[in-house]
Amino acid sequence: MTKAADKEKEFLAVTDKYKEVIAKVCYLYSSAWASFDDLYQEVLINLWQGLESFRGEAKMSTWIYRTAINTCITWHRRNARYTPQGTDRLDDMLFEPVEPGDSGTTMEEYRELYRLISQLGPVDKALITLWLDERPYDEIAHITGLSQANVAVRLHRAKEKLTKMAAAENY
Amino acid sequence: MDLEQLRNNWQKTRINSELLDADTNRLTERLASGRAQTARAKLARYYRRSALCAILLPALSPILVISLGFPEWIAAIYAWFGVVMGVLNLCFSRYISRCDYTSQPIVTALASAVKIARIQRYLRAFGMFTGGALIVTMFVDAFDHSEYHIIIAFIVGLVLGIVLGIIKFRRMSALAQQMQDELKSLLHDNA
Repeated sequence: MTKAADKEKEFLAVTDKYKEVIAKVCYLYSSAWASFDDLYQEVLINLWQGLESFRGEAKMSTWIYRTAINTCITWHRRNARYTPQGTDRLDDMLFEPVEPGDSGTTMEEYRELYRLISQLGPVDKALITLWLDERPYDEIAHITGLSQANVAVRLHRAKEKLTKMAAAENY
Repeated sequence: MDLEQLRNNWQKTRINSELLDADTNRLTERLASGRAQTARAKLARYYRRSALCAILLPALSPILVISLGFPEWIAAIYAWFGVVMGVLNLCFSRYISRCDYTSQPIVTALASAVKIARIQRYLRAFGMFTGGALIVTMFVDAFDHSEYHIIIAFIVGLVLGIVLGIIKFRRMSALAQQMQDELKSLLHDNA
């Protein structure tokens, strides 16, 4: 097997294993200025380019999160124009109901969660994303480059902010 | 809102993988054949092309003297402007190409992105200022010689350039400012 074919095989194995992580990060960072499709594609391109330089010094999941979040935070389209888009299409396309017969309530919660998280700054959004995925504090610190104490403080503030925003809207 | 409950639901959420797999397979083919580029590579390419366009200006400067009747010193400034903008754009393009921050910690990546956004703003401001000064100089010279067709073209070009430049500059500044504020707050908390 050629080197290129090996790389392709390895890439497909990695993306298959972590596609949910990548999709969830892109979902939370998608906005009127950055569509889910654009972000998902950009993350995959960056993963492809970084795969050879990944030496296993960090955990694979840490590298995937870093690449996905950094891509979403720093992504910008040249001459980007405001194109409002709803989340309905994303919900239908990507998220299956948690339990059969309970999809209405759950999707409504996700929409609200998505809407509230989209109002946070890029780093708070990263912290909330990692917290939602139940990453331990030491891994969050490693991914963000913040100290563990700072992660705890900022995460606490971000959660408070989310709760206040939800309360202000009687959610 | 119960955040813990939402987190539990979030954990249970599954992805409709058929659609993602189709996208991934399509993109992998493009990646394997070298037909897909990152946004950073596209940005670097944009500045490389801008550099090439700017470097063409010295070659066009004789036309200002021969066909449009401008004095030689204006043609020289026009050529100098092209060389300076060409070199700056080329250096910036090389900097963007070298600056791979995607696998760095988020704080480091944000700092690199802020730096790129800052240089972009400076480059645009410098281009607008020096280019504007050059156009005004040419305008004054054309006005002295009452070449009305050139004056009208200058006025239209100047107004369009200023309006488009300011719109783009403001958009770029807002994005850069947001990232810079975020970085300041992170560095302050991490100190």
